Amino acid sequence: MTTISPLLRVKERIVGPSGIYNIQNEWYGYADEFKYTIGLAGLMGFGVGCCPPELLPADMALLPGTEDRFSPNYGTYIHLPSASIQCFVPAHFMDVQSPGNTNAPFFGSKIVISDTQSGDAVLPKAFKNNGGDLLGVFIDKYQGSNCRPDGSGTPNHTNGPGGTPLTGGIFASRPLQWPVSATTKDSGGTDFNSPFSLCNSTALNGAATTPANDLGGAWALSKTRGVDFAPIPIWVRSQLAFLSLAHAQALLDTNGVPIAGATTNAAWMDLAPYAPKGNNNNGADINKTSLAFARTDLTGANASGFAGRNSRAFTGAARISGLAAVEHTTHNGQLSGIVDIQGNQFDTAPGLTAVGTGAGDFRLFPASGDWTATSSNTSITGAAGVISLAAETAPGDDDGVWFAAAGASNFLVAHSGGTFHPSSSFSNATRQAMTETLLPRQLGTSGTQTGTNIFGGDRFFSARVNNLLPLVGGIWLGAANSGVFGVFLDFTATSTRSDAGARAVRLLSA
Amino acid sequence: MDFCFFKALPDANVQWPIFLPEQDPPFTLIALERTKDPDANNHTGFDYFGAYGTGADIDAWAAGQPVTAVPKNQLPNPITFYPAPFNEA
Repeated sequence: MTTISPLLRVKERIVGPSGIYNIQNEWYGYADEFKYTIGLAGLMGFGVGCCPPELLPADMALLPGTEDRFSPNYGTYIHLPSASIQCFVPAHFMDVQSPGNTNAPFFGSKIVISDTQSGDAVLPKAFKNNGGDLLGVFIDKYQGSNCRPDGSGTPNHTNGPGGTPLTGGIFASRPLQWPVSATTKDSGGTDFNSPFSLCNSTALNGAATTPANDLGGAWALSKTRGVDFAPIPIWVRSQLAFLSLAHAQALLDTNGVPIAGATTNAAWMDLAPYAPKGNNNNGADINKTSLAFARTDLTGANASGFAGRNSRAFTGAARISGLAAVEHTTHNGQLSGIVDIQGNQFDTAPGLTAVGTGAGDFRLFPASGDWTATSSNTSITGAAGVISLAAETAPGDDDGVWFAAAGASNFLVAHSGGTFHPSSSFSNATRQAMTETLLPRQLGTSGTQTGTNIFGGDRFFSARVNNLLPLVGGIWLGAANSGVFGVFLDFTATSTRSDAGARAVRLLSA
Repeated sequence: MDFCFFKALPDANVQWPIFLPEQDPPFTLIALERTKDPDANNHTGFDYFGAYGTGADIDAWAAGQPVTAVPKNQLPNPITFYPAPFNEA
């Protein structure tokens, strides 16, 4: 008779580098379950993670290396019907703290990311939907492009220089393709843009409709991939920004200098500002001038090196000295991250809108609603339990919307009380809503830009417009204005933008 | 169209002119080399910038910035980033 001993499973403690200056940055559990978490700031694999196989949607599949924390494909999945590449961001808790000073490495905003709840940490809005919690979110790795509706992932373009975008496509997340924009192709014989409206196939979703060539078209655009997809909401974009900041802080010492080996786990730690870089300087990064974006498309067809108009690059085009350097453009500074997170084209990021031009007119979609079921700003303003942001009670009260209706440039700066409202103040729903939609405190902004601070001088363009649809991230000529925290509030759902693209998300319920 | 080149100390707070997207800007300013970029072609101790557009507007911007005008032949060679139209001028 043979006796079989059960395999012994031992819990392990994994400590991230931020432990050196005493922030909570460790994980304790079975090592084989670590991959299902967000990871530890400063470590390889942070910012993405794996979906438990029993909960993976049937039409999604792993890529080689998806479950290997050191693989470029870690946490990366493919949606088989569209060949879209998506990153999985597991749910986690976040505590936005204000340490009371602006010293390095936190510069007034200490971001603590953890797999478990403690202190003032909250489950961010990014992981709440339809009245319940989410296990995580699948997010497009690349800004979406017009692809053939046959699952091949190839461009829905004619051959030739750059190709002419064709009708009958689907919206898919693919590398080295021409990202679509919220505008028309342009007439005159030159195809400047790849418009939303040509992604009008119903092959993957019989209920899909032709997207309008405006920012509000992002909803219909996402639905051409399937009923389970929706445009990336601003609270998911904000979470990517906070993950980037937490990662940077874990890799800085108390003098604000990157610790040894920091660039191994975040490529963009090689040069201030310590944040994702991007195509924000007409084909290069404004700070990292060696990071260049001119590149032909997958078929080598586009001789200009750019995707249609001006200096719009193909997705995932970043190179240094002719070699791929995409990790400099991702939210976690690793190849596993979400690409072109700043610059190139804005991300259309709905979820926050306004019913007028008053300071009290901002409306935020509630966590009790189903984001995947929304189809326009009307779905937000008409949702049961819609959140109304409060106007600041009086100037300087720091308790609500503080900016004027007229458009104005503000630049993010460190403040001892936090650039954003800290989690400890989230008993005030407006403060929480502001942080989760990247609206800074007035004291966290300045009229003067400092391009190399921890926020890279990111621009908060304040405005109060009716039917608001926010744009985030920045564009190819935005210079230091572009960045993961960059937000523009001066556009509406009917705005046409040749510099605004889109990403889709798929929410996974717990 | 006028072409102008500038150099600045790497820690200088050179501020970009703010133009709204989709408007034709009077000039375009581009960072051509950052000496602190570890992958830069040259590490001269200075940052280099190029601008093309209306000369008077470029001069007006430069007057308020911590930059020094330099002739084209004083740019590092090869410069790290030298896009069109500079390379066609």
